[in-house]
Amino acid sequence: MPEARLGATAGRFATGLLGVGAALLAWKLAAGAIASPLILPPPGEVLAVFWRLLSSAPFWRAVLGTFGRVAAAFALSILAGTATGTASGLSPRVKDFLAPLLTTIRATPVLALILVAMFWLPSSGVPVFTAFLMAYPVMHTSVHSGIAETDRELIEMASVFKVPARVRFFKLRLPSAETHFLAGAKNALGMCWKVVVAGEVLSQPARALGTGLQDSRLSLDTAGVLAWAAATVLLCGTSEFALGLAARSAAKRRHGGAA
Amino acid sequence: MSAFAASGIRKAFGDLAVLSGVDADFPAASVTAILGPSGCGKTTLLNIIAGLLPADSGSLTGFPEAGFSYSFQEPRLLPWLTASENVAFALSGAPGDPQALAGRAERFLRSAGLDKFAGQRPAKLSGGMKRRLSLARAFAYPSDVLLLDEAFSAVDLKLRIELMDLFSLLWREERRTTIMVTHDVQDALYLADRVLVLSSRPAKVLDRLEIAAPRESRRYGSRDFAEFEERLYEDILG
Repeated sequence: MPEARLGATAGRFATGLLGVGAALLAWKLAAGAIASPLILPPPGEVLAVFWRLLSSAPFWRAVLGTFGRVAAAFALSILAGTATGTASGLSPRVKDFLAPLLTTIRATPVLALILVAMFWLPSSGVPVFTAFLMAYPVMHTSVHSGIAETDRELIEMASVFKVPARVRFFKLRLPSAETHFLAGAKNALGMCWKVVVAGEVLSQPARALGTGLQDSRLSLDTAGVLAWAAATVLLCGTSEFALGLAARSAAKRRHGGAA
Repeated sequence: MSAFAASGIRKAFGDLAVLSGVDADFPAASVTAILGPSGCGKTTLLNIIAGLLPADSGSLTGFPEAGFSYSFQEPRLLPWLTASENVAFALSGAPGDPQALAGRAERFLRSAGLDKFAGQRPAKLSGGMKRRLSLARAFAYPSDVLLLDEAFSAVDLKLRIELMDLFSLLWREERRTTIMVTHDVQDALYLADRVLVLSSRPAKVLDRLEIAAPRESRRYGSRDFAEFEERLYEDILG
């Protein structure tokens, strides 16, 4: 059985690799047809720039700076989203109270938030604030759904046995919300990476992937822009993958291997 | 006079009248089966007794002050807790010394043959073991009244009899006032000291039956109670 599963995983991986190969080939053909590296440099050129970036200290400082901002925005959105999502999952009144605010945040274009934040905050704070505002409603909604959708039959069982509210909250409500929480966290993390880098492009803080992107753009270095963008995609994908692994192992521990 | 009684219990959901003046008494330390056709309001009556639903009118004696434990048709176990943690979860609000409660949990898990599986989560337990765990949890909780809502239904006959035998075993360990809801005449005749038959909706008590034979001497499905059986089927089928 494990061999069969391994084979299926390898098969999926090979298919994915084939897809990447096809996309690279299409890119190479398009770059050849356009024949202007300013508009579309070939993949080899971007790879060479990316390789040079990897061996430069400013790149790693930028990675650390952006990673710190993403971590801060992610942590804030997890904390705030869990707090208000839990409260609104337990109380319809809190849910109604927060609904207009959340709708407004969700409907506001990210660019407008970045521009407004630039009036209020130092350049390194803009991406954190904006990413927090974009990721917070995602976490709020996920946690709210998890808490509100706790199995009614289990709640009824806890009521009959007069299980204290504190125990009910920590042992029943919170674990019930785990799947929703993890799905929300994964979405929020991806959103934080995208919005933090977008915020950095406009607010230009020191040591930032977004600043690297913008600098390359101003130097008309299209290959550089694509290399910085590739670095962002890789970092975002890696952190989402790491979060997924941690979530799966936590679920496996909680459910005794039945997750 | 019985320790627990319900009198004139009425309940409607909107225009749908479910209970129309149910009068019943439940002697202490006895097993009373509430029998009736599907959808007649047996579970509604049980939920009113447990305080999960308010009655529209009528009164309850003894029940409002009582502590309840419940075993449902579905085991209702928390999948992220082990068998012993599931019992501990239910006991977390129970009155009494925590150490004594932990001792009770251990004792009833052992009596239910689950002591070797105390550290397993529900996903690792068979359907029968989950039902046994649900019964052990209900007995471990030091309640005044034990409520069983179709706790032996929706399983094959062998498992059903095993579960009912386990109930008898645990009940002998601690004689608890028990109210069991069932739609199965044989289950009622196998376990109950008294049977209350509810009519179709809107339900009231149609018949009352005392079964004097000791539970230990009864055999499931035997013809020893043919007379009772006939009477109950007549009550239900009209």
